Amino acid sequence: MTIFPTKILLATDGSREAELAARTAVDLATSHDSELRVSTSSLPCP
Amino acid sequence: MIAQFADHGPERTTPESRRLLDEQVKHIEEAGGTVAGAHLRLERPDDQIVEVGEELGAGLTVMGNRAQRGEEGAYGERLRLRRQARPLPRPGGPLLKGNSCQRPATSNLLDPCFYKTMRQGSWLVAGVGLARGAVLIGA
Repeated sequence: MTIFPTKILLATDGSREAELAARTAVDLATSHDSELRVSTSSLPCP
Repeated sequence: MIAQFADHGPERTTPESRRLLDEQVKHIEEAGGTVAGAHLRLERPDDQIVEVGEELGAGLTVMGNRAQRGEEGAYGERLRLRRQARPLPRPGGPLLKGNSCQRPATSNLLDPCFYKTMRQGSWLVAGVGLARGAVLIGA
């Protein structure tokens, strides 16, 4: 039996690698009916 | 409408970061995915990944693998070390580095090799993602 996570977090910075990660996350979320969340970080405005 | 969460108020985040998040949500939806929420944090990337993942109770974190380009201080390694330094919220299995799975990764993430790795513990960095530029971190 495989228990797959019901919540997936995609951490992205817009890089080429992150785009590939996004495809992976979408594949996993759709094929397992998991909830997909996206996050990124920002330095505060001065 | 996607719920967006900025922890210190949107006025302190940069327009570029807000635009990046909007673009990523749009790309995911164009690829057929559904985004339940988007989160923008004023923290170092590895900090925000850990914090958001824990707050959401994310069972899996997917992120780009900059280590492929040989950059020092790659997020994945820093995140792995941070996670190791923290008390586990639940019984955790071994942390598996991606290369433990030697078979070449394919575009098929339903590869048995992936599941073999998944079943070995509640923490992982799965090798299956490496060829696609992604690192999977289970929690």
